[in-house]
Amino acid sequence: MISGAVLKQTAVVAAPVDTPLAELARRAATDDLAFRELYDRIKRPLFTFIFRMVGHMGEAEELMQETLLKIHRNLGRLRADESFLGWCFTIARNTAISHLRRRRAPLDPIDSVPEPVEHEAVHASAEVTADLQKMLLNLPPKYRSVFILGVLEQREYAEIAKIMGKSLAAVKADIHRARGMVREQWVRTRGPVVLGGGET
Amino acid sequence: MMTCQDALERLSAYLDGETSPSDRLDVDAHLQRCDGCRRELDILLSIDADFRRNLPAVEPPPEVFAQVIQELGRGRGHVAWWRLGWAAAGMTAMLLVGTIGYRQYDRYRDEQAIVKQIDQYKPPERVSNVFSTARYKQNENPFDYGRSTARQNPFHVPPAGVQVQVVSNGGGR
Repeated sequence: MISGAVLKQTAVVAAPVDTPLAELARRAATDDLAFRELYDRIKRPLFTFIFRMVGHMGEAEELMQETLLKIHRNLGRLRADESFLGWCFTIARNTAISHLRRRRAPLDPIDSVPEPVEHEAVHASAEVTADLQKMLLNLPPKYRSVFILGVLEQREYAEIAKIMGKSLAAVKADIHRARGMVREQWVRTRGPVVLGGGET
Repeated sequence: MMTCQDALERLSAYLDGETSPSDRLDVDAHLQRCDGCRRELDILLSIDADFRRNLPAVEPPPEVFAQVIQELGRGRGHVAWWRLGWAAAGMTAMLLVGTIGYRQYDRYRDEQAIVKQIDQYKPPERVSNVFSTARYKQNENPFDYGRSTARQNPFHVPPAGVQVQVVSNGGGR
């Protein structure tokens, strides 16, 4: 069972700080330095999302460029009351989904696993990472995107609803369904190892 | 009292802290007395932890931003063809409007000049002798006997050596 305090702490950590981002976004349309700063603030969550969606480093880089160009060109359309990061996720999600619809060829497995970040290399082996990424890629794109945003990125449901253009209830149902699909795969491949190893 | 099915349907939102306070209390109470649902919660917690630990955030390579900046710079330096098209169309439209406007103004000026001339025109006094203005209007020289005057002037005496051809008028006189 989870205590309320732990959940609350998680929610606070996951909450995006958007006020300075919104100010940067207003300047970034004409100021390259502001755009650079903006990029430094959003690159990690945005690129991670795109990469987890497509599972291919080369494609993720191209889609990241496409997303950034769309963001820059549409900065003027950003509403004052809109969450900037959420808006960026919407663009990234639409770009990734369009790409997945166009894509016909299967993924190259060698290129599909990223090099782990240095300080986390101790925990993550390439094989485990590949297994989990494969489970993600087995999900239909709409469930994949909510799983990444809800479980990996730990975004609030209300924000995910805005990103996806859905109701809160629909997002709740989609994340529940996505967790169920991942659970089936996970218990088959990773479950006994992790549960038996005293991970919980 | 919450059933297992109700609890399982709420576990995902419960994990994410997205249930209502009353639902949270109900799920808490159910988990305290149901080993099966508690086990299910443990599995879901393990999955979340496994994914978050082994699928870390990924940093994009520096080339990504460099290429974006390059692309944006190219966009600023390069004028898109459709912008050029609009500029050309705008200039053509301005030229057309200018030409038509000038021609209209020129015509108006000419008309005004004509109106002025008409306003200032004084008709000539009437002349009622045999060499009336009617003849001048026909652009004829009344002293040119060799042409049409001979037929119109009944008192005409042709000069010596001039042959006059008399045309019959059908005997109407």
